[in-house]
Amino acid sequence: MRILVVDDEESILVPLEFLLKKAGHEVVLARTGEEALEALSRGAFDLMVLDLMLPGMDGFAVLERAKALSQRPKVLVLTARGREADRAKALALGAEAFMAKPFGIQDLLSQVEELAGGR
Amino acid sequence: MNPLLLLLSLFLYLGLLFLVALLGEGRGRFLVQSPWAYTLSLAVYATAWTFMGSVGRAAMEGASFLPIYLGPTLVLLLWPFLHEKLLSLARAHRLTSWADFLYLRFGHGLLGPLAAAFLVVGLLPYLALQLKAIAQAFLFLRGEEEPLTDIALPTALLLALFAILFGTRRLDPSERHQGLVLAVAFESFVKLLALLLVGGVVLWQLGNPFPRVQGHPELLPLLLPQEGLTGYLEWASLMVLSGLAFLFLPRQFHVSVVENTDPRHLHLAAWAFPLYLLFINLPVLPLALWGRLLLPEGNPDLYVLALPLELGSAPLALLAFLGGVSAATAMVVVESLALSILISNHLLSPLLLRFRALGSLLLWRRISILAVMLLAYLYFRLAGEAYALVAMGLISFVAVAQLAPAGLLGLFWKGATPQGALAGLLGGIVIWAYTLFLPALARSGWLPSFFLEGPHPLLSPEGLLGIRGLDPVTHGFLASLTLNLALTLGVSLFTRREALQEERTGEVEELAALLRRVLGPEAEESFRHQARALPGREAAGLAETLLAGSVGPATAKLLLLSVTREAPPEALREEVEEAARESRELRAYAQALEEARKELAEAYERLKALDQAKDELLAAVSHELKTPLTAVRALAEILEANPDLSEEERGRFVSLLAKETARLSRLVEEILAYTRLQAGVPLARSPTDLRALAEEALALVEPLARERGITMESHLAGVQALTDRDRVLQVLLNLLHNALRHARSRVRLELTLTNREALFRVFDDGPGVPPQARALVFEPFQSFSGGTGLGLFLARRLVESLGGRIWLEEGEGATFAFTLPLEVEHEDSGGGR
Amino acid sequence: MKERSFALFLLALFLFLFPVSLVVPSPLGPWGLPPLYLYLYGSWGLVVLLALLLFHRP
Repeated sequence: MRILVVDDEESILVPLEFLLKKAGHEVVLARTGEEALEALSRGAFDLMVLDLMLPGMDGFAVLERAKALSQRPKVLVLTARGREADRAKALALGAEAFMAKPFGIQDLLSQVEELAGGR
Repeated sequence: MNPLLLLLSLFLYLGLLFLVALLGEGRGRFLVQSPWAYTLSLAVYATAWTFMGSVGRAAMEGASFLPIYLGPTLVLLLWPFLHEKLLSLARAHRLTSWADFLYLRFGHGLLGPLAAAFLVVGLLPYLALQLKAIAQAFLFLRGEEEPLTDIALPTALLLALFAILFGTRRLDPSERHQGLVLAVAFESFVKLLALLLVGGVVLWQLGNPFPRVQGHPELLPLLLPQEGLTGYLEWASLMVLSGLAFLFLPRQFHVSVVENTDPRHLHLAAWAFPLYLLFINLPVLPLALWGRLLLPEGNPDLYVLALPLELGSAPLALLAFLGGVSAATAMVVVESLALSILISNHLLSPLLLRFRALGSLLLWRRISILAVMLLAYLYFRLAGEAYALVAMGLISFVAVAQLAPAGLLGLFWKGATPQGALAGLLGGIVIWAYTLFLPALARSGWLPSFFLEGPHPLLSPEGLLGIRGLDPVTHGFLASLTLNLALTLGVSLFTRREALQEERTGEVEELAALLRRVLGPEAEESFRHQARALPGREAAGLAETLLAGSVGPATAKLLLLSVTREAPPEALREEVEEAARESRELRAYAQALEEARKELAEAYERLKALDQAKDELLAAVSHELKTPLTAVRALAEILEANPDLSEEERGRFVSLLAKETARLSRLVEEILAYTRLQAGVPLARSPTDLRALAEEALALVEPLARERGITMESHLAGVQALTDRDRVLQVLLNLLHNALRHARSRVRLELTLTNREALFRVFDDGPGVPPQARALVFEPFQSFSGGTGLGLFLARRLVESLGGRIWLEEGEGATFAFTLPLEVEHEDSGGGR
Repeated sequence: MKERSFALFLLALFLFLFPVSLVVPSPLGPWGLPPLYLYLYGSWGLVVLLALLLFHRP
């Protein structure tokens, strides 16, 4: 799968990139909402792993815009903010899955596989 | 002897007494309050009568000089019944004299003035005898035979002056004159010493007189007890008489009751004063015998002076003179003071009140003293020549004893009524005058001899009802006191006790104003202080007591009439007070309840706020922890699951792991710092090189800057400050981390010195703080950029605790600036709120 | 305390009012001193001593 990982923390991007690449997926990284949208406009992605807390444009806005695209990817929301309201909002905006930090890498990988299986 | 020498030594001695009095009012106050001073002050009982008259009496009448001192011994043994009771009464009601007590106990308006006036007249012989003693002594030593009268008048005036100086310096409602007490105590010591010295020297030089008496049979009766029944009666009467006098003499009441500072002094006085009397009487008989033996023609009252002269010792005679004068002076000063208080309280006050002249009480006291001394001089002129010293004194004793039935029965018998007291007193006065006072005047030729014989043999002034053979004093004493007692008892039994006087109640304000008018601002202050918590009735009672001390009880009552109103009758009053008290209690209770409720509500709000803050903190903290924890967990798991990573990748992951772990620990540090701030850990001040500190901070954040690719710039001035190094470092690190997080390419740290402050500025070229967030940027848990949410808040708290200010500057990017005072002057270890 | 002081008072009264003339025969007695005065001062001193013992302790 072609996966876009969006998070402003270096220390999250690096392990995620490693894991997903190891699982055989193609990974593109974005550090801000703008970068993410730019990447989405340049090419189609199957999945977007999205952190809600981004500098500048926040995660919900990115989610909305992404879902408005023609080739909208599936979205897995990853965030440290674990409130119910966030979860509900994310799902209402169209996110397919919601995971709270911290997570185990196995949980993440299995969630990604599940989403990939939907294609 | 040179008269100038006499006068000079006299004045010197009086001057010394005056200095002692001043000492007693000043630094010597502790002396005055010792029980020995009290005991010695009681010895004002021993006057020139004791010093000179006793020897005279012993020389002519034998042992009858002695019972005068046995009486007070007996009375003092009964102090738990008498003096102790009087002391507590006096303290409670501000009694200044027996007349006050009579008024207090009986309430009859006539008793006080009558007692006061009678005491003045009755004490004239006693005062006159002091004048006579001094005048006699002076003339004798001077060696001339001038008439006594020329010396007596100046003596009287001088003594009056002394009394005024000692006793009327100011108006004290408690009538305490501490200086006077010390002077009297000192004087008592001097006269004891003087008489013992004179006696001792005479005995030493002349030897034992008793063997010589064998050769002079006319002297033998002096050594034997009184003859027969009459002799025994005289002995017994003198004892009872002197005991009563000791109790009722105004000067004795004054020194033993009014001037008493501690009732426990009585424990000492009860045995020490009789001991004093015993000692001062030891030389009397030997001196009397030697006087009779060597100077049979001389005046026995002057033996104490004549014997030293006979021995050729002028200094000893001078000492004896001073001793006698000293004794007389003390008596006059205290007695005339006590009389002036009596006069002003019971005789003058009602008049002054009517003429609204109460403000000049002190002046009237002084006039009273002068008047009394002039009257004493007058009596001396009229009746002094004919009598020996002791005989004169005894007339006064009998007068004073007339107060005894009313006084003692009033103390111990509830059935004594005002009418009884009045009747007894009047009867006693009449008999006393008839049997003692008037005959004395007649004997000197100022009244017709009718007063010596009476209209009828049965009514002979010196032999009522046909009783013969008694000496006048015994006779007068027995007659007057018998009638007095009989009337007091009889009339009391036949009259009913009146209901207690109605009580009055008043407002504290008006009462205080009255006290100010009459007694001055000090009394008003004292009253206000004491009356703070008293209900109206008791406040009125207190005001009355305070007034009575200075103007006498009758006048005090009159004064109070104007500012008080009747208190409601007893039974109803109790119910009313009860109801008032209950409603007061209820209201107080309701109020307390309301306050407690308010406090509870406030506490609840505070608790809710705290709880919310705690929740927020917990949420923020856990939130902030999640991100680095995620990374740490992921990286660690990867490292574990992939042992075959390339060196480069492994290295990268490990360094990321290290970075995130450091981030976690920094977060924990900040939280700890936050809690420490909350707890208020005090500052640690030390001289700090701020430039070096800034460089250290830069060095600490350099790895992070390098990693993010941010250029660090700095411009640091050399600034020293007295401050908490760790805290400043913490602030710098917080600001630098914040800057690095947001910067695009540059972060700049500036340190400059302005006025008396060090100014730090941290600039980053990041997106800056959006306008809506500017106000909240220093608030806790406001992180909008992935920081801890606490960093800037902590920085603000720290800077404020160090005495500086922190703010966000306007302009491109974000510039955070804070100041530090060069010296931390005002510590607030918790920072601002 | 009160009872004892009253008792001492009665004793003193008795001593002082004692009709000494019944007992004292002559003006001069032991050591050439008049017995009347010896008795008076002696009993006086005794009373004082008893008062000292009685009142000074409390």
